[in-house]
Amino acid sequence: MRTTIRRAAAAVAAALALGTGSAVVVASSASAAPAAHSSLIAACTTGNLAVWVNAGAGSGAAGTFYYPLEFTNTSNHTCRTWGWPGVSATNANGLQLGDAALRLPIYTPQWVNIAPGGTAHALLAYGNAEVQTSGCKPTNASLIKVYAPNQRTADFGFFSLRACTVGGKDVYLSVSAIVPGTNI
Amino acid sequence: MFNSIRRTIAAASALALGLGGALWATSAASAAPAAVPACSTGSLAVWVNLSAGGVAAGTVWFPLDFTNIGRRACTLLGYPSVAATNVDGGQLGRAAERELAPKPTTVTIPAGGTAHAYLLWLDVGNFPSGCKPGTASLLKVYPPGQRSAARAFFSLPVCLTTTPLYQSLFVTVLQPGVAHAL
Repeated sequence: MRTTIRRAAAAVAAALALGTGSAVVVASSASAAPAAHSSLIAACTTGNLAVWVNAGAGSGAAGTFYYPLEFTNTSNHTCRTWGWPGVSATNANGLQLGDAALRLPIYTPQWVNIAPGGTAHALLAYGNAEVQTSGCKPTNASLIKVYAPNQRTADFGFFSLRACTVGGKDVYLSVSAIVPGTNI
Repeated sequence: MFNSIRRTIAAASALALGLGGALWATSAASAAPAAVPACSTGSLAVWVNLSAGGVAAGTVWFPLDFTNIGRRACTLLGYPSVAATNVDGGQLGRAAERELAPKPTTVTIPAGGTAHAYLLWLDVGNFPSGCKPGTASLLKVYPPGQRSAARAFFSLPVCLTTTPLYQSLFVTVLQPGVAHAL
C-alpha cells in the first residue's frame, strides 16, 4: 500500500521533472559547456530502463515503416542519456538475426533527461523492402535487443516482425539518436 | 468526430486570446482542477515490459504498461481486456481472464507518464496435450471502457484450444505508475 502511494507520488514528480528537464537541455545546448548541475544527473543504465517498440504508432509506406523505440525510466531517480542505442533483432533465444541497425543521422544527438516514470524515444526504421529481397531469408523475430548509449548489457523488448537471417547484404533496421518525449 | 471538432474549436479560441499562455498558467495553478477525462485508446501506447518480469509458482508475469502519449492527463479505472493475436489481429486462444485482486481504483496518468497492470502467462508446456500451441505476434488490448484496441508486440506461444482448461493469459486491474523491477 505504501509502495502504491510512493509510485503515485513518483508519477506526479515525473511529470513536473520532465518540464524542468527540457529547459535544462535547451540551456546546455545553447552554452558551450553543459550546466554544472546537469552533470550530477546519473547516466541511464540498462537496469534503469525498459525498452519497447510502440507497435501502435508504426507508420510509413513504400517499403519502410517507422516506429518509436521507447526508453522508459523505471528507476526512482532522473537519469540522462546521449546518442545512439545499439539495436538488433533476435529470435526467442536472443540470437541476432541479420545485421545490427545502422545509425540514422536525422536527429542531432543531445543530452536527454528522463524523469522517473518518464519516457524518451529514438526513431526505429524497419525496411520491409529489404526483408523481402531474395538474399535475406526471413524468419519471424521475437525480440529487439537494445544497448542504451554507453551500456555494455542489453535490454530486450518484444518485436515480432519478419527479420533477415542473412547479414552483410541488406540492412533492414536503422535507428536515430535518442530525443525527448514519447512520440515520433 | 464531434469531440475532435470541439477540441479544435477550443484550441483555436485559446490562440485567439493571444495572451493565453500566461493567463492559462495562472488559472491552472490557482483554480480547482477540472475533471480529468478517461484515457482513450488513441492517447495510449500499451507495451509489455520484458526487463521487469518474473516467475512465481510456474507462472511468468510481466508488467503490462499503459503510457499516455497524449498531451493531457487522463484516467483509467478497472481491467483492460487482453487477448493474444496473430500478425493480422486474429485472436489466438482464450482472452485473458481477470485476476480479482486488488480492488480497482481510478488511476491518473500525466502526459508522458505510465500506469500498469500485470500480465500473467502460463507456458504452453504446463498444459496437457490438446493445447495446440501457436506463437502470437501481438496483444490486442482494450483499455477500460474503450471500444477500439491498442496493439503491443508479444511473441510468446499460447494454447490455440479455447476450452477453459487451456487458459494461458491472466490480467490484473490497472495500478498507478510505471511498474518497477521487482
